[in-house]
Amino acid sequence: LVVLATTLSSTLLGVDAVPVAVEVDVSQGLPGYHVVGLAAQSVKEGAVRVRAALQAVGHDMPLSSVTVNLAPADLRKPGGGFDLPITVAVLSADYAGSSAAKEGSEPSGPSDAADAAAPVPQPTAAADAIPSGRKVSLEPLAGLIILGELGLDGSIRSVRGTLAAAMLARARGWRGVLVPRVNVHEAAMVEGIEVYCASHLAEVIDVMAGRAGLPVPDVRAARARRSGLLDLAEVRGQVMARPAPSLRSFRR
Amino acid sequence: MTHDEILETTKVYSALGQAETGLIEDRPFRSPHHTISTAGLLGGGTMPRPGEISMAHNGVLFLDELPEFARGAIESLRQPLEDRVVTIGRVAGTVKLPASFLLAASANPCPCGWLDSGVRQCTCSGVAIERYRSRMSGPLLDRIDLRIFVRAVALTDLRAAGSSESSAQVRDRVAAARARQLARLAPWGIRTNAEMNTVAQRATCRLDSKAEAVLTSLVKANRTLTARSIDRIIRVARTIADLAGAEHIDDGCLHEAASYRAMDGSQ
Repeated sequence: LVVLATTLSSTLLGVDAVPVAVEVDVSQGLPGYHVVGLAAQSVKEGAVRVRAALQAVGHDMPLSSVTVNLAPADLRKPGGGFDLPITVAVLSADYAGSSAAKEGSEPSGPSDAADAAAPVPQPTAAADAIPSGRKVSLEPLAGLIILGELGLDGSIRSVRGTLAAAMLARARGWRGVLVPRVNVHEAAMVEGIEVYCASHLAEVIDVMAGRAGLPVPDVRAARARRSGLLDLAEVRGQVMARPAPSLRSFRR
Repeated sequence: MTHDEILETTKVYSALGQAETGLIEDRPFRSPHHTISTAGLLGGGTMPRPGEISMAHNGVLFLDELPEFARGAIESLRQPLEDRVVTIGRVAGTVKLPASFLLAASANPCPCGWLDSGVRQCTCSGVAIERYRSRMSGPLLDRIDLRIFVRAVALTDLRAAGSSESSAQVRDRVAAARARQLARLAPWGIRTNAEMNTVAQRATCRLDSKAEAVLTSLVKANRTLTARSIDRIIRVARTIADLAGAEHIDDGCLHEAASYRAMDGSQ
């Protein structure tokens, strides 16, 4: 039984964002978690964050073979921003898999096989108390570039390049972005797309389960950073240097 | 800054994870220490991250004590100064980073700092001065349009109470001139004189006959003027005319523009 879920994300190339498709395959086999697609160490380590964050919100990493593919395969992808798109895809694939399994009255997972062979630490059988495969859907997130690094408690941390991601969404005519709340004022600069934000994984799961709408950001008047420079009137003497600053402002 | 400029500059800071505290709405002013590496200045890493010149995008990059910078670092500014982007090649491919900045730099006249000061005798040997100056190459200096020798300030000036022209007054003048440039250069899709290519420059920088004569005499008097210098003198003259609110470049503008370049060879 193979179940596939795909979400949309992006990575930075210089200051520009390039789209990345996050494919998650949850299939029968030795439980484990594999990331392919030139993922940097920080992305691979995301397995631990994803697992802990899922447990923090009462889900388990599926007791199956989880394969994450980040496409395009030849582009190196650093950063923790893939944690969130991977997590929602895992949840979706896990739900689809378990519901399909029930229909086919197959065993819900190869729980016997969950032993030493797993490359990442597996939760013990006790965690089975929480049923995996709650009803979730990727439908509410369709067309959104999803970015977010997860904390072990399920909180969503800041990522780099959310403004570039929003610009990418607009350039491609996509629906919009879902970004960490701390970065939302950056993405909200881009008009003509939908901009959503979340600060905890639980908020996103509520959306996927149809219990809540996407959190619309309260875009307070964008906080501007003031530089607090001194005034030219403070300059004493230096007559020769004086005409220049006004001219120099053109030589950008 | 205009909305587009705020977007461009904030995008750089966003890519560095430094826009969380707010959007960049003031022109950035970056003044890296002179021990900065070439990668720190231009941007670098296997997945290139923006460096100081990109963080100064749409703003000012100030290099204090220019001759103290690593030679490789300052010479690497040549291409971005011309193209207003920096192109970084890596095995995985090339990355273009925005780098439209105004370069301001300061330097001492010699290692001891007293040459031509009129206050104290310089103690540097000729060789030392030569070595110090040669750290800034000709091609780099050629790209610096305004060069000013600044003397030490007398105590009386320093303690003087009178206020000189304020930033706000200068800003008004500059804003008016920028508006003229924007209106004139709109057909070429650029905002300032600095961005003009030769086509735009030929079309917008008409010299009157007296100014043309001044240019000819300048080139005759100084055969070391490169083609780039001449282009740049005309551009600066265009800006001076804009500041004065003039339609055409007259001989006065051209003289002034050339005078800012006059320190050729002597710092």
